[in-house]
Amino acid sequence: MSRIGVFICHCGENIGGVVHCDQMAEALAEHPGVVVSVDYKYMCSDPGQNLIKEAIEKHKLTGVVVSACSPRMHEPTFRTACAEAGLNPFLCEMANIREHCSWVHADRDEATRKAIELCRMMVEKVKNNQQLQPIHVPITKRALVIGGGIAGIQAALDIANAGHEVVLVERDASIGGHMLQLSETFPTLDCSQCILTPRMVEVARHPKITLMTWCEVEKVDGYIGNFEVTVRKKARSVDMEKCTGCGACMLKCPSKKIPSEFNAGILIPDPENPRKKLGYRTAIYTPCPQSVPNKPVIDRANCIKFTKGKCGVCAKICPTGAVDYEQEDELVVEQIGAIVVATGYQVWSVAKAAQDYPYIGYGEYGYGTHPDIIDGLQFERLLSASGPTGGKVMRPSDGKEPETVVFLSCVGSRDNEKGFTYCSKICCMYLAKHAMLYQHKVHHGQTFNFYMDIRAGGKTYDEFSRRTIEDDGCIYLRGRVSRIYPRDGKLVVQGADTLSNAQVEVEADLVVLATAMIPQPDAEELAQKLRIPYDKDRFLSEAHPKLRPVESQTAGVYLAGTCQGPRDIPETVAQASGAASKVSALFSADELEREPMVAEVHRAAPPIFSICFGCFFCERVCPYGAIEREEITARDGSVIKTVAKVNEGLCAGCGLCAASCRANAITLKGFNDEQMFAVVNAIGEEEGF
Amino acid sequence: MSTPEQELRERARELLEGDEVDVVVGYGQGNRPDRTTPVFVTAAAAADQLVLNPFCRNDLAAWLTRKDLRAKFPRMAIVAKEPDIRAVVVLIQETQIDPGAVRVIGVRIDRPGDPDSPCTVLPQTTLDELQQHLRDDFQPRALTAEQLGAVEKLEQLPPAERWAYWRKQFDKCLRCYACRSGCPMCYCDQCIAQMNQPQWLDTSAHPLGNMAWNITRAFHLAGRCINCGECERVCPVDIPLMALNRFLARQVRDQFDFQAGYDVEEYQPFASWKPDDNEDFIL
Ligand SMILES: Cc1cc2nc3c(=O)[nH]c(=O)nc-3n(C[C@H](O)[C@H](O)[C@H](O)COP(=O)(O)OP(=O)(O)OC[C@H]3O[C@@H](n4cnc5c(N)ncnc54)[C@H](O)[C@@H]3O)c2cc1C
Ligand code: SF4
Ligand code: SF4
Repeated sequence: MSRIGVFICHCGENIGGVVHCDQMAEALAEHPGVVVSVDYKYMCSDPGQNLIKEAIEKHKLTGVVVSACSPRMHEPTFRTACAEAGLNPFLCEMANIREHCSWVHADRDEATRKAIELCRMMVEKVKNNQQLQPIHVPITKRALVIGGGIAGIQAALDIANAGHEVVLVERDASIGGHMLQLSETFPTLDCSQCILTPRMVEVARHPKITLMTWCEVEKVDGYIGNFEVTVRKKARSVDMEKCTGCGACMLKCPSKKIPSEFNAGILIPDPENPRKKLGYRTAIYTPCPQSVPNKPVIDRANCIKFTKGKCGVCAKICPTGAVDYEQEDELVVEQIGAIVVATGYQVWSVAKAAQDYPYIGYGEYGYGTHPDIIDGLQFERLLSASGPTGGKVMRPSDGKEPETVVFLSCVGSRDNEKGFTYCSKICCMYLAKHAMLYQHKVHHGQTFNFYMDIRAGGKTYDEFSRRTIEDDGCIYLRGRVSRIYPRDGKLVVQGADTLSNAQVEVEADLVVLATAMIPQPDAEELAQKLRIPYDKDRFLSEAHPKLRPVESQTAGVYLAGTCQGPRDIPETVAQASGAASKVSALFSADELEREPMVAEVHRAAPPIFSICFGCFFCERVCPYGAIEREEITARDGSVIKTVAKVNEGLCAGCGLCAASCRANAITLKGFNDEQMFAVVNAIGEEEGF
Repeated sequence: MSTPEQELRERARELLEGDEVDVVVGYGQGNRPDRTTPVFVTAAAAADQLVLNPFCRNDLAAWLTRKDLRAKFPRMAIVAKEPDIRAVVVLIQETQIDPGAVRVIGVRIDRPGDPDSPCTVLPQTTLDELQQHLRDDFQPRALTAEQLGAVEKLEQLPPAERWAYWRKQFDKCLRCYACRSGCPMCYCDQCIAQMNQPQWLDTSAHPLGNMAWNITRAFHLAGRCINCGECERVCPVDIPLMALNRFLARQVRDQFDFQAGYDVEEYQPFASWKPDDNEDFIL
């Protein structure tokens, strides 16, 4: 016989203001199987929880229904309370009479009637509940970090310093990411490379970190604590063991005219030889001299040996015989317990053709057509001591020092028509930085900044941008630019100054567009491999925007840095450390406890053996790849039937499989057929349907 | 010149002689001139039992999932009309048959049931070729104007009248489950209609249970029905089951641009997901 306790919460005025909780308690007391039914102002408070615990002991309850808020809020609270009183926690259910009732209804009597019915449904369900035990899964204490920008570097170091092994996979030839390309960083103007390179070196030297550059994640199988990750080691064409990083090959490589990705594709006429340009790299290259590892790769698409079959200079010059044209891609499988995704961003780049992008582009800004219209990352390279000009500001068309520089913010950001709805968050700050750094280098120069708003929230950020205006004389014009076009060796920037309500025209030598920060081109593909959701703009989605910002929806996969949304370095580092601490917390136990609400495939007596008939619709619908195939064999080993099997470690309990199964061979524990049937049958029972 | 029937027998003979299959499931002469009955030819010498005429009505694909038959004859060939080839495709997708263990002798009957209808053996022999034939040649004529008209007529009825119509139809249901037996897509080892813990469907021939059974049956075929018409043909009380099946098939086509059984590589919308799936119907 069921002995159910019903506990009705007023949630202060939230429920009590609409639902007559006392009447509800009386009505439920009459319901078959209910032995105690009480209402209380705050069930989640200590005295409220004690009511439940005492009732469990006093009335020897076999089930508990708490009629209160959403189970998403307090189910763990009440289940724990039940467990403390000796009742299996999964014999406790919640009826949501707040979100599903009091918050959406005004009529007190009607709402009370509905609340009673919602509660009866759960009482009927609980009568069919079974004692469930949490699932224990072992944990491989080895983390994978994907992406070696500052986010990945920070996460890898934090996890490794906590004593766990880390595999850091970076697809470029060096770690460092975008931060390595920056000149100086707001708001303190530290030299970006100076603060970053020590960490890069630390990663390379750390005994707990396996650094895999020029590698990509090919496939991800498994689940939290037990991922199996296949990594593609792209053919580097250079033997990492033999190469000493002397760089002789790079000096001699005849394929020299490749715009360097590290320099964001910007090319500047060489003052010493105007027919030559600065900013190229060779076919065998490292992204920059500070690269980690400082060993080159061959870009086969541009290598003469690979394209024409001739050359082979680097192999001849290499003192250790490290160059190996025969090298092939290699796949390695790593056992991993947790994954941190830190794949960063790209800027909507002027160096690439605008039509490559899924939005309209800014033809009126001469987007990608005039060499003196550049993007923010390219300007960083012009300002950087490691850039093509050694930090001297020169314009791409003729190498002259620009005397008037115009900055445009929000190119693609906050633009519902042509770009993205979101704010890229960093541009206001880096444009202020750009104007300031330019002014420090070109004292007689003048800068203009067309902006929509100055977004400088953050410690000392507002002071920083004020300095640009007040000390460095940058003229800020609040308004959009309508057109940029060349005239007599200058660029005419036509725009509006909405504060003085005037049309303005500036003759510029150089125009810098703060183009939107967008996810990596393959963000979607990677998300699908990892089975994690992404938003409409393809940034990876966090599990909860406020309370779980560094977790993805998939257990064991965490997010760090700009792959999740636009942000600057301090925020990126904070998030990376957050993700790392989640990983360390996961690795602090040997086993993982998971909720037992997982799907199960039913067995049956011979000759059927299993109601499952193996159509494997469930396998196709399962978003978590949790359905495996299992053979039912006879004594002699012959296969009687191949049926579905749920991997409990992977199953997230979404129930899609159960819904897709025509034979009802698969059900969700805690939500099985009997339970659902009882719930449905309880609807409208009073009215005699 | 050999007749299509001779050609069919020749094909069966070749498969059996070459030891490519253990049985050829085809049509044999029934007890009346206008009837055929399934025959199981296991020796080349017996291939002359096979007939090909406008009265070859059954969808023999339903035999492919019969466990007793499969245990005895692991490698089967079937004589399949165009809709029945679609059934084979779906059965392969749903892992019910191993594509390596089944051979299809495709036939075309232009006007089933009409004594003067031409009948031909399709020249294509591999499943890939047969699927290509279905896509190129059969898809456009899979649904007749008359069949579509019946669906549209019902669709235009006001909901209350439509409900009354179906209630009246389903009231006739005897719960003999002939529709289920004839359907090549109804192959579950244990049908949900037999489940009694809990019992979702009332098993007696009572209006409520009948309604539940017929709606469940139709839904289980949404995106899977290959329009062979067996259920309606075998129904002893003439419930127009195909109107319901075709209605659902058309919904799936309109919403997801999908028709079952034309391509083994393309999965049923219920078992697949595409980023550009239509989602207008989500509120
Ligand atoms: C012009 C400009 C100026 C800026 N100035 C400042 C500043 O002054 N101060 C400041 O705080 N912030 C600044 N920022 C912002 C700063 O660049 C970012 O906040 C920071 O670099 C983000 O780091 P990340 O690690 O998230 O991403 P990234 O630096 O983009 O690193 C991602 C890494 O992951 C790798 N990767 C990507 N996909 C894969 C894959 N599938 N597999 C393996 N590896 C992969 C990439 O190769 C890269 O190395 C500026 C940004 C711009 C555009
Ligand atoms: S073989 Fe290729 S990488 Fe080596 S020197 Fe020649 S062009 Fe450069
Ligand atoms: S409940 Fe969801 S996650 Fe679990 S096996 Fe079924 S479909 Fe996959």
